[in-house]
Amino acid sequence: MGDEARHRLRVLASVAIGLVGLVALIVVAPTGLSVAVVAALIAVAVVVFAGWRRLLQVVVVLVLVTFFVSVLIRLLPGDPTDAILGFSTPEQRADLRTELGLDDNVFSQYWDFLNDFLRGETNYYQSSGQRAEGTPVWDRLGSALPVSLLLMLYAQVIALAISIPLGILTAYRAGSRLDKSVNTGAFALIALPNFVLAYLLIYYLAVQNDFFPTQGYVPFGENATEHFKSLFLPALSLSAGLIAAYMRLLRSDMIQTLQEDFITMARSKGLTTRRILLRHALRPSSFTLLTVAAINLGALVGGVVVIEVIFQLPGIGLLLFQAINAKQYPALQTMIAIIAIVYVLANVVVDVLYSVLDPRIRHARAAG
Amino acid sequence: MPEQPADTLREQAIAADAAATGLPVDAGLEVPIAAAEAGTEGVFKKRLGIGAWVAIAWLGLLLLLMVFAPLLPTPGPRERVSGLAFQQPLCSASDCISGHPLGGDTIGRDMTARLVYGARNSLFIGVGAVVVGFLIGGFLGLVAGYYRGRLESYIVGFLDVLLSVPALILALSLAIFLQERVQEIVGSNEMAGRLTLTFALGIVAIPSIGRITRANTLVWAQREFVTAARAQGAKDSRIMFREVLPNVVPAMAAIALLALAVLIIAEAALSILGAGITPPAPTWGNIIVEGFDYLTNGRAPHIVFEASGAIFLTVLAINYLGDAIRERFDVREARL
Amino acid sequence: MIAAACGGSGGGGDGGGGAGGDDGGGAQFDEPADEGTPTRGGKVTYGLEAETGGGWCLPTAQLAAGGIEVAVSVYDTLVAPASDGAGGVEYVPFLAESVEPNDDYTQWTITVREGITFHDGTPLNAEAVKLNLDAFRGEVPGVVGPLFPIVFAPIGSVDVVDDLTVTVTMNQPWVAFDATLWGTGRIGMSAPAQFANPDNCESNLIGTGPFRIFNCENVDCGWVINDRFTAEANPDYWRQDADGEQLPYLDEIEFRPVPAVAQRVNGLVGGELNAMHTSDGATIADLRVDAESGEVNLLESDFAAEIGYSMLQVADPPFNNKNARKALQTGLDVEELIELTQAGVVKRAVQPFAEDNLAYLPPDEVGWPERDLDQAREYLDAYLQETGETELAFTILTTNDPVNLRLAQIVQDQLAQIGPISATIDQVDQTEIINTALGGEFGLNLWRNHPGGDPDTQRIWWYSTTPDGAANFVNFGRINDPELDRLFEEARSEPDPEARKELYQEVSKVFAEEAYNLWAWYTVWAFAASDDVHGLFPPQLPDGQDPVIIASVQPVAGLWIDQ
Repeated sequence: MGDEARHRLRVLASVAIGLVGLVALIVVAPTGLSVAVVAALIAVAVVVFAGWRRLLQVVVVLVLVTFFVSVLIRLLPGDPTDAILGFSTPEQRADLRTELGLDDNVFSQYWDFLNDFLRGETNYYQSSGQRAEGTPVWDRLGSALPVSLLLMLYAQVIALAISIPLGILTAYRAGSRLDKSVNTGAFALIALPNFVLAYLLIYYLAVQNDFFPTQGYVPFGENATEHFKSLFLPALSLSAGLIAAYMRLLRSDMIQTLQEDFITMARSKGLTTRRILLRHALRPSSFTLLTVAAINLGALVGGVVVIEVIFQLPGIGLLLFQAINAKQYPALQTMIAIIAIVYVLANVVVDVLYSVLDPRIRHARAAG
Repeated sequence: MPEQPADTLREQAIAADAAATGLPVDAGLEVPIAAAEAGTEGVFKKRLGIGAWVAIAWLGLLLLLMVFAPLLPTPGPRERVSGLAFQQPLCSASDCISGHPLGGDTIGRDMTARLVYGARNSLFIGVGAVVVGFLIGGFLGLVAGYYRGRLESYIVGFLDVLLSVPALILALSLAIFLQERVQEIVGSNEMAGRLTLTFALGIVAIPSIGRITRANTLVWAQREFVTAARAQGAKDSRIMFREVLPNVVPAMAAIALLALAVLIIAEAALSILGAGITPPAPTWGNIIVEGFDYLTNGRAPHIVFEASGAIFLTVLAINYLGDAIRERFDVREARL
Repeated sequence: MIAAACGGSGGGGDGGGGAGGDDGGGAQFDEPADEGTPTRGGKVTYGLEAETGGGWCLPTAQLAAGGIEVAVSVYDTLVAPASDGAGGVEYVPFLAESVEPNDDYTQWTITVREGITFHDGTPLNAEAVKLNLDAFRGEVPGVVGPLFPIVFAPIGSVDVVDDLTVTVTMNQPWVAFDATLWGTGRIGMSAPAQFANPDNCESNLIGTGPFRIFNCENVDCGWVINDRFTAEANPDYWRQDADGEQLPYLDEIEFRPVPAVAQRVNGLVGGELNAMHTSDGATIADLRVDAESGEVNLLESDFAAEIGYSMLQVADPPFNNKNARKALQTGLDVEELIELTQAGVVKRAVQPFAEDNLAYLPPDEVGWPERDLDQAREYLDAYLQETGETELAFTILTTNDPVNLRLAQIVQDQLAQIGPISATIDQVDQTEIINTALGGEFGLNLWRNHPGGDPDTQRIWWYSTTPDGAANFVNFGRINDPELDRLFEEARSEPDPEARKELYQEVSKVFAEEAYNLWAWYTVWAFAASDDVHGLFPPQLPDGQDPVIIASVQPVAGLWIDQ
């Protein structure tokens, strides 16, 4: 097999693994087990494309992060079981202490936490104080995760749809008045927090005019149009900061690319501007764009939480918010842990993808 | 430009991202990791021109208002004025009470007073968090960049773990879990709320600030004057604090400003998520939260928009200023 | 003053009749115009003011307004409140066919109707009723609750007489037992199977009610906490409407907890919800406007109203000091609170009994002091001198929704006007607030409770001890007043209505003097629906009586939607 063909195969393989992982998360009800399976898949991809050392790094980070999360509950002063159960008998509180491992040292507590986590057994606790049991967090996560993922996806789509044309245009017309005004706009957009944009959109498009609902979520299966309408304003709010970042990045990258020799050569061959821009100049820049899209995952997650609360979309962010309000600390721990794990894994996937796709790195590795 | 070994390729891309935008993205807490710039082509170029002066003017005005708040010709921030509730800004109708250009809030307090005292709280938290971030993160970064080796990798590893949790989630969890602990120490009062948020946000700012400090320290610590000082037998700590730190500080000034902007937004985000300060103590964030219902029912949208506008203008001004300062103090060589 | 409504049971015993005046001051809801013939089918999505974190294991559950609404959809109570024709309430057999006391009220006999089955097919019979009553009394292991064993303490034993009849023998004469048997909709009859497994009792609802979540056939039933409670029509429901049509008309009902009232209204207007309830005056004022323009159908009730008030915790400082309490009583400007937070929709209350209540006393006879800032300052100074404190400091407990936060801030500000009073606001989530209150962790608690009916049902909230002598923890304010105890104890067994009335009126006077609770207003409950949803006012009761709506309890069996 030729070098190029092998490369294409690797690209396909890594994309396939990524997609499988994503589908697994969205479609299959997440339990500790399915997350472990996805993690294993990702671990395989990491080893294949980035080596054992990288895998070790990831594992260490995951362990430390989950450990940190599991002991968060010890930060609470007094008896956490008091805060969790409220009005309850001492026996119930003692039972809960054992279950949460609060009387053990931090390591056995961590072990208990991991066990519960992987078996999907973390519960919301009844605040009636009658019994220290409840409904599992994982069930709720299963229905909430798709909502958040879709929201992020739509935000990225909107951001790319707007920023790519703008980026190309301003790169092509660098220095013009259009370029300057778009840049000023981008600057302002970056300073505009996503929730402020949300308020503006809500007021002018949902309150003054009835174009979109102010709050609430409609699943795709129920009504496709209403589904998109219910996610449009949220996704748009989220996309604002992304638009600015992508546009400027693409612009600076493309300006550089446009100065390269092969562009002048293409021109001299008589290719149309459009073809040059889209086929030849855009491609190298897409790598950085891809990575930046992934890097902003962290900012996006934070934004998703806020936007979900504002628009009352039943995703992970809203779940988190409700658990906080109801002082469901154990459930909170599980949710934070899973968000952190997914975030770490997603970053790892991006790293690996980047190393696979970027031709410069590829060639460096091939040479070295 | 010499090719520096990157810990991960992701960091190279972060550097590129920061280079192109040079500014924090979105309401997340991702402060740009690299203060560096790969050259200024394609980047929005601004000398200390008119824009920067407008920014300085706004920030100066804000500072004045905050400092001289008690002397303002408005009622106090907790003072209810009968009949002022929900009054529109610049209201001229006959049943409007004059002397309240920004209108009234949900209870009848003067919006100007609320916003000015809100600025005090929001900025206390923002500045406090930046200070915490610099004290701890800056110190860690300095030490890591200077000593290198094993110590550096531990510190970087620790910072990486903190970075592994999405920033807002980390801030939120800390705010929730720390709240009662702080109340235990300080008592159940306003100060407790402010301190909780300051620490929560400060801790979240540590990793980003730490890495940038390290990046800047790396550059300066390799300079000849440092090697010379060491050859002369000067103690490491003396070199670190006397020779290296003063050179790192100017670059960090820009970062401090940018971090401040991000943290002001973060305070508002935390308020929206219910982890902010309880009223009646005002912050820009909780003013927004109080007014949200009256945005959706259309009765008093000005409450949300005025507080949002204050945040936006302040963040815009800070970003502008930070950008300008960064350009001034060329730290072109600072890379991870 | 909104938090959970841990409403007591309803009231009215025999001859209960409301005090109402000649203008029939009792029943004050707009009976809707004739809405035409109900159509079958469809689904109603009902927005509730809160989620019920503890679920519906009725003997153990802590049900507030949101939870009660779900309970009355899935369960039926033995008795139900009806209009007594004179502006007051009487309790008529509902699930039961008859509920009769003996001459001295020491024994009550309950006979259930024949042929009623639970959602799992098991029969509603005397054995089931006995099991339920015993469970409420705390005699069934695994489903022992904190509240009802105290409420039903006067019951000595429950005995099965024949297949459909039980006798309930009391330890003391209990004149208004039937009021407690309604329990503001909480004393529903569950199938024995629900108690069989205590571990999932709270989510395995099996009742006799118009809707079911057990073994649903056509609907995705179930309870997803903080999201929805979806129930399917019970095809074997035992009730028909006045024309003999089988109830319910709907195919499906879904309850959604939406704590923020502004959002609930948005949901109604935007279409995510097509019904909702609220007791917030400002919202009701807006809904009235919408009702005028025909956008929504609105039903209001201030009959047997609950009281919105500030509850003081009187066992601990500072409010164990009477001067501190009186300072607030004379210093709070309730009229302003009503104007600013309730849009003037509600009426001032100076006693814990509504106008249509047996115990109602004309306001000027209650002895509640007028607002007097100077007087308030005197009381405050007296407090400061007595205790040596420099200020009166305490926490105000409230739920963390914007409406209540606003109220708390105004209260805080009003009190600061009196003098050195420093109140800190403690915001607690709706699901938590009952626990916080139970723990007595507050100085002032913004509360709503005490729906009308018979005053006997309110004894549980203010009596100082439980039957076995322990402190009564549902007496959140920790009131320990021998006079109040005596009045309630005597009135429980007093057969003469006039004498009872006087005893309860004394209760109001004690409250006015001691200022344990700062009564503010009589709540108005409003039930709003989109313009295609009808039947907000419940259908006729099984034996033909006219129903009444007490507080938040809106029966849903008669809801129908245009097709």
